[in-house]
Amino acid sequence: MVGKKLKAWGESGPSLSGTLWKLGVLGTVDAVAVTMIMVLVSQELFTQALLSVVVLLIVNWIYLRKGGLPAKYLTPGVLFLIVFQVYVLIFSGYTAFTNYGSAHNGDKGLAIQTIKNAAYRIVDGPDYTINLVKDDKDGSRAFLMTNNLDGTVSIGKDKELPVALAEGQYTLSTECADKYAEDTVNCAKAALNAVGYTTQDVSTFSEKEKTRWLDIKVISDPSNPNVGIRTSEFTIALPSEDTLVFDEKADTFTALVDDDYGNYYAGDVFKPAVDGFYRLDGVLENAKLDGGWRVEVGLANFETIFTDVQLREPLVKVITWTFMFAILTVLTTFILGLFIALVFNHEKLRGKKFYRVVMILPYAFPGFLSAYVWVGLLNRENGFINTVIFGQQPGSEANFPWLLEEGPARLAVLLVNLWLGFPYMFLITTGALQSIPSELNEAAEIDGATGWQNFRLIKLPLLLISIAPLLIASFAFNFNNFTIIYLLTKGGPSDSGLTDYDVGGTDILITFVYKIAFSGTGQNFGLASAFSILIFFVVATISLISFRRTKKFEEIV
Amino acid sequence: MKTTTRRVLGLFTALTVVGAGLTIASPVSAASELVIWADKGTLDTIKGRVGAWDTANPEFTAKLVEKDFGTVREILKTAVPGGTGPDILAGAAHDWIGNLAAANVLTPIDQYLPANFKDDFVPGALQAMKYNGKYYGTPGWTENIAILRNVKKAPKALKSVNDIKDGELGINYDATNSDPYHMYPFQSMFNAPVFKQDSKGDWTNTVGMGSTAGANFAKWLKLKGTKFFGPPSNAKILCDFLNPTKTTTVKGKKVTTGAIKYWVTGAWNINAIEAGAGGCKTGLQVGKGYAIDPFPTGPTGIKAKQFLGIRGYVMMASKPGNVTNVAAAVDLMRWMSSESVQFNLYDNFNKTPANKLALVRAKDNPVVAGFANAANTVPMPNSPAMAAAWTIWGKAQTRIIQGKEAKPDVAWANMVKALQTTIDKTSK
Repeated sequence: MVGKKLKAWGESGPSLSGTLWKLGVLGTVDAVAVTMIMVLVSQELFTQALLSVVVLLIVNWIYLRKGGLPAKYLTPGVLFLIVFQVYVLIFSGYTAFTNYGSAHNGDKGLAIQTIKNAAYRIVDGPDYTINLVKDDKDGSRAFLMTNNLDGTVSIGKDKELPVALAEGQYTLSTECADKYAEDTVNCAKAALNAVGYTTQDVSTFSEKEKTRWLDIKVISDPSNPNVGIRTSEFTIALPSEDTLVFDEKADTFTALVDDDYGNYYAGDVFKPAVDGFYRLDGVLENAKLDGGWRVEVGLANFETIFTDVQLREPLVKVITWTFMFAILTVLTTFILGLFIALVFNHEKLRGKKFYRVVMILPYAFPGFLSAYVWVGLLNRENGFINTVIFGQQPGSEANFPWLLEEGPARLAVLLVNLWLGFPYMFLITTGALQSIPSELNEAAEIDGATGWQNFRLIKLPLLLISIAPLLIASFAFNFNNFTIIYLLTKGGPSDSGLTDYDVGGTDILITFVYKIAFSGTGQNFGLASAFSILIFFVVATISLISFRRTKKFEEIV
Repeated sequence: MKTTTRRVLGLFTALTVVGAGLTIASPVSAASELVIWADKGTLDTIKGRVGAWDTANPEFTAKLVEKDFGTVREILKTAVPGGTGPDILAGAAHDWIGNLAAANVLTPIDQYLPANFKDDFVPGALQAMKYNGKYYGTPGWTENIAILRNVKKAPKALKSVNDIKDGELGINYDATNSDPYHMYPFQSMFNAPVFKQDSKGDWTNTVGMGSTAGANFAKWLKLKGTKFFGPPSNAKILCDFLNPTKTTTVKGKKVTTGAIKYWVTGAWNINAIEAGAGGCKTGLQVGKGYAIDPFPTGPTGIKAKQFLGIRGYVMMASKPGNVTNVAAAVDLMRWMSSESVQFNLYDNFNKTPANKLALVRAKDNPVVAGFANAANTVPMPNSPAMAAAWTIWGKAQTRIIQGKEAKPDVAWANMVKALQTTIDKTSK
């Protein structure tokens, strides 16, 4: 059956069922892609839509044409590679040169919108319950406004003063003006209809029509053009004053009034500054308006890494510990794994298979599970290690502070990682040991070598040929071993908090970077990306040097 | 062969068109969906009332989505600008507001609120939703801490903090980041407010706890140490608070359990106390078993203050032009702030109403009345730097309590300096 299908995908004589199957899958993919393109177009993301169209056409061409078998096999893989690896790499590479983070999390349009949204203040004056009406004479839009304080009714048109209506010119609604009033009998009622006007039904409005109504500004203070009665959601109108005005051409915000909180004064002009904020006169040191956008900042993030005094101390500490952690982990797991492998490799040992299975168990359990179990075992007050193994008093806070103080926490992390890591070393060294020809062993014995000499001069060098690359890989893996650190200590215990950066005693570079990017004290994706690029170079350099040096071992053979 | 190819090509085209057609249909109905994010506790609390609104407004579908309380704030900062955020965040702690507003996440709602709406709430509740002069949300319920006292172990209410002996106090703080929120009553006994206040009583951005008052508090923290500030684990405090005091001998050593007489906590632990929990089977009844007391005065007789926390509903910044959802969101927020809903949430979930009328109706409940009587509150600050402030402030406290700082006043002064630097950086 499988053979048949494969044949259908190939070049020699496609079968009908195979072709149908292929077209079915391709049709489904196309349907999904077409939907996606339509969604993209509807959200006005034309570049992405065009890109999707091109990719879709290429994919269809690849699978519908005759021949070109390799492309048919490679396309899905390549597409996923682009989406999940190449794009991610390029994106984080680019992010390293931006200030992407908490306050700079969108484009400029979003920041302008944020500022505009807050660019008003409510001024003293009555508020109104309104209904939307159109003048029967000229069809102009107007608010039928009922004063919430005294119940007077008036008609308000855009840029005009409200005109009071005499009693009898309007009819009151039977329902309360306040939808959620408790007393439905004695509550205030609002005017629903007026003579000469037609009441409009908001639910039939299009979004465009709604924005037209939102633009209406009824004059409430003729001496101040910035004040007007407006509505935002069609049931209430309030007198509000514009505080900032945006000039699209000049790309500036100008303050119309003094801010109550001293953030700006009338006449202040805010221009876009290079750091992605609107600042007074566009000068970097000056006051800013809340609402920032993402801008490219060049090498600023890298500059921070190398020059920020606040960062220096934690960074040195973290880097030192990262190397200690990676090197010690590789060493301890390798030594223990090798020792056990040697012991169980002895021909005369009975029940070897059983022991080997037991030894592999820590490796067989999911690391997440083991880490959490260890967190429980190492609990200071009631953990198994403290209360049973060391016989300390249950519930006492004087017990050994595993995970709670820097030194012990580092020790604990190394021990747990040893537990998780030695079976892997045990496995690969067992394999490597068994591949060493037994003649070498016998020859060494005949030459009168002691066991130690045999191990140090014959077995170890031969082992290292095949295992050295794995040790390097293990180093690179542990250098970025986020899981174990995060699950055991979350990088803690934390320091005294005397720097701006949240750094703990067991933080390795990657958990430190994670905290910079995602912790509650403010996200900074730009800085985190810059860090991850540096981490890549560190790991790459070390791996490269080590791989070069392993060639030395190969010369032995 | 050729006809076959043509047929399958035709079929393929048909499949594509049908598939595409099927998927287009869905976004149309999604247009009038109102999405509300909430943490688990909030979601369980408001589910019923939001459902009632949903039924009354058939043109909208209110969709509640559960989010983790600890991470939702950071998720919003990327989700909302990216267009995948909700319309409303329910159960938002009011001290998040400055931080979220500065990150393009929120929209002020002043223009949606009639003037008399502002009179609906207890003093400070709506004020707490204010940042930079604008209201960013409506209050749902209030939270403040008090001293819970096991009346069998301590028949009389505390007068001075000096009357609390080592081991008698239960206070839940994080072993690395402390909990300045629970510690604040003690800090305020030394007249060391977290920030300076302006003439209107609003918090400024100047750290106010750096004075000699702050240094005195730091010294007092060290003096009291871990022996005084009980075990940092909620479960352990609960059991110890409920159980009678008992001394037993374990492995030749005397071990005292149930020593905790006073517990610094809020209404969120009341259910656990009354039901009893885990190994401590029997719960206590308010008035008979336990009492809710105001904080005692400080070592020099200064009255303690605690933070008033407001959990509320905040509106997300929406794409320009999406007026429909904004109007619906406002309506839902006003519904959730109304007397009937807030009374309902109190009645079913013990949430102290922020709505004045609902609170009056709720006051015959001894728990609500107890916390209200114990309240001598200041609103928790909500500047954008608060997220960082809690950590820096708390870490210093923990280290001092744990005796890791030889000179607590110096450590405290350093913390104040670091905190001010961070705040200046954020606000600049």
